[in-house]
Amino acid sequence: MTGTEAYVASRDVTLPEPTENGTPSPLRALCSKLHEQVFAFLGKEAETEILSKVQARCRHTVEIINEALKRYPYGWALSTELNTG
Amino acid sequence: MGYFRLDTLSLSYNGGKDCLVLLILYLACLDSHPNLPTSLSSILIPPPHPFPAVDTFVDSTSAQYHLSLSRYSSPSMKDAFREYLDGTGKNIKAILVGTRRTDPHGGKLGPFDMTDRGWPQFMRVHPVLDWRYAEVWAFLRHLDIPYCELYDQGYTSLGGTNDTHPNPSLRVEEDGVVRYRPAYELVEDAEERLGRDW
Repeated sequence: MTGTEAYVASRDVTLPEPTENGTPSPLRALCSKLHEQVFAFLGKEAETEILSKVQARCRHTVEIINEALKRYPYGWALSTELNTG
Repeated sequence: MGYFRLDTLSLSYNGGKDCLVLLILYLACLDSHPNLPTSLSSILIPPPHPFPAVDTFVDSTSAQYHLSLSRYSSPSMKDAFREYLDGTGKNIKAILVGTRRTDPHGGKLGPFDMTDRGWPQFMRVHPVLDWRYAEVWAFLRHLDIPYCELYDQGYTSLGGTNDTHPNPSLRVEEDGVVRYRPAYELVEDAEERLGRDW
């Protein structure tokens, strides 16, 4: 195969998350803040019966979302063009 | 050689209270995910006659929560999803949906359900399926999450301007003046849709 007959192949490689000038992305910062807020709520003893129920709902919802994230991953990959000529 | 996004999961977002709970918990879960994109794939299929207040809320929260929101105004939900999955959502395999058990057609759903025959094929994920109405409000208010202003005007379930009214269960008349209490004061799940025409 010559250079002019190059073909393109691709492979998926999981990469580190892109950053903005070396700092976490605004989305990452938001997720961290909400994670802290939600899990602080879940870690506290509920003040009322309904908040206790909400904590249980949250835990179940988190399980489902994490299962979805395991089955259907998010992210970035590297597309690699291979010129084998 | 370059980066490309590998999104297989999306979120259905319409600015309503249920998908707001879902969005907040989704974002909280993503913190432990190792490889985030810069914005989250999401889809909006608004009703034919949307409330301006809902549009405004969706616009502001899409920016605030870093949603990459694809909007489809097709009157057919089936066609809208087909257009999404054939276009910007071509890698999408599953969509998080804020349906609750008490919603129309919500009674028999499970946490993971493929779309029905004849629909564009994707996995519907229902993380807030079993939340009760009062629990939704307890969560949003306890965590001080901003919500659409219509809820403070007595609307308890948001559709379009042509089929949605303040909930009559929240109606108060004092000295001949009618007002509606805020949505979070409603307690009964069965009364949630009393302000809807269908």
